[in-house]
Amino acid sequence: MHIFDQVGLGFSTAFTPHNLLYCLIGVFIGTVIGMLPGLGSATGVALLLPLTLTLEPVTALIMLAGIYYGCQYGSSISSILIATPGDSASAVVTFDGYPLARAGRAGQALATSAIASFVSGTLTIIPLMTLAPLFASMALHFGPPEMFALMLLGMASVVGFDAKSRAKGLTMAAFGLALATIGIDAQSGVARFTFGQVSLTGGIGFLAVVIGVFAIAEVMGQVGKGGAAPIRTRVRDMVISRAELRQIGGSIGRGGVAGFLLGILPGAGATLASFFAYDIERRASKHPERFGTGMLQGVAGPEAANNAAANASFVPTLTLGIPGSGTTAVLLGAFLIFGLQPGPLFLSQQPKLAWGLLASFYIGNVFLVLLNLPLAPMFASVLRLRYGLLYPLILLLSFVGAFAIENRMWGVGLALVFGAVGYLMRNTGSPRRR
Amino acid sequence: MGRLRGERILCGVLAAGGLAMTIASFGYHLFGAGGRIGPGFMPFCAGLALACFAVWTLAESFVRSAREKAAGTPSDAADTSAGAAPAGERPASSGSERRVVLVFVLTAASFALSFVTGFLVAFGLLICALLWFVEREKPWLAVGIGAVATLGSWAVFVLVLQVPLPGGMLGLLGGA
Repeated sequence: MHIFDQVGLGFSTAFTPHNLLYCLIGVFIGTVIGMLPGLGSATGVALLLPLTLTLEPVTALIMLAGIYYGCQYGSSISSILIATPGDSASAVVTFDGYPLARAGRAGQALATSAIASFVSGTLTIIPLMTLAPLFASMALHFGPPEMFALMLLGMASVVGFDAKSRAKGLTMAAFGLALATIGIDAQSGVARFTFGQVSLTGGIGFLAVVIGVFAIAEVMGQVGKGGAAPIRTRVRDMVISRAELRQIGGSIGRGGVAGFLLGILPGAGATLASFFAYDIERRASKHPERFGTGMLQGVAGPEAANNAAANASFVPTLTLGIPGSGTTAVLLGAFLIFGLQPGPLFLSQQPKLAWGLLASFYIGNVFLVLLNLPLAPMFASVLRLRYGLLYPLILLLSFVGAFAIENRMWGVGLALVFGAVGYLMRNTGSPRRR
Repeated sequence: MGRLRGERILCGVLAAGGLAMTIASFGYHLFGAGGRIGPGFMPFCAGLALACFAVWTLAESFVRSAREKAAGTPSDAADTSAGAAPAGERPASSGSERRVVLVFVLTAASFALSFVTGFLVAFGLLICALLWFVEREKPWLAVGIGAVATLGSWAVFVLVLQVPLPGGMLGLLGGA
């Protein structure tokens, strides 16, 4: 099938009213989740995944991907207004975004962030669509040794996601591998480490673990910390001049290219990309000493980079079955739950789903810019809600999600146990994601 | 509990677990007929790797602590600056750790209670308890939010999304 036919098929799939609605719901929820400090895109996808199990796979994945890139937009709002990133990829935006907000330019910082995210998020879908089939056709020639090497690369990339210490990364990867051996062995049918418990024969559920380690542990990590008072902004403050647009144009281009190239590498992720883009901007600037005091380029570059990296992380995810980032690792789990196996044959065997998903990125980005430019001040009002009132509701949603996986309390118990494990991992600096 | 101490306890538990898994994997047979790998092979590899890497992490923590002591920096303070909490977050105080333990205890109690009162009632009571006792909100606000969250969740999850949330022994607000 020619690439234009594939793109056409993708848009015809994504443009159904049903898929458009779920894409809109996904990006809206993603924006809100992204704004909530500490939750992040992996948590958001994990939290909502069980509730999408009754949907068509393509619809569910469009919604989950919408949550992913919606979070990239949303997390910038909290970075700029309260200097607390909703997601690690937006941490660098606080460097110049918050000083801009304190200087009364919060609206301009939010507008810059939305424009950079939109331009980069939309333009980088083109190389994503062209590179993905190339990757897949190359991977078709892989034999068992290459596949084994690929598995090792996958493990190595998981280690690299968050490791300040390689030893901790390796320990956590081995811990995950050890957990995966619990239950009936697919080859021999022997039940391993089940201790006679029927609930354990199916193994430790991926989703319950993800909800525990990401959602519950993050909530517990935020309990009692309170929050900074957000800076108010209005729609009329979000106007940026032509000169300012010219200033950020180059930053968006540089950030987008750097973000895409880094995002394509499994494990590099949007966080690294955004910090890298910030460094590029500082080096490219005639006034590097002003960075950190409120430069629009310090917002535009990293924002473009993290959105480009989020898109690029789908290249290894869809074509090699290797997660490009922590969130795509959760999304990869979602594919498997729906009975889909991302890899070299994915684009040719599931063209409607794969191209529909990629086409939905364009639509999602349009929705996001339409939502974020005029509604950013309204979204920002969520930040005025005290976290003490919010987290009990997040906990309830997490447990409903954990129950809905298999419609039994086992998942809730598992999520609770892994919430405690995740909290311990979080407080000991052990890697879980990114 | 200091971060360093927590890290060492976690590593110790993981190392012991990995070792136990390695030993237990022999019971599942590492190799099957014709030299093929048996059901015990992967648990053996994973358990051994877990034990080794956990010991490595433990050793790394002792070495780091000794270096920091020599440099005159307290380990936990250094750990915090090294990024124990994610970017932009304040480190947890001992008071907030007590709150976290309380939240975990209340959540576990709700989990147990859900078998009697049903899922939504138990977790609605959890919301109420968290707001009242942990967040020190006014009782009427805690009860109000708990009730609205319970009924709202029932409407969304049970009525609209048809999630069969258990009604417990009392059969309250359960799904089909």
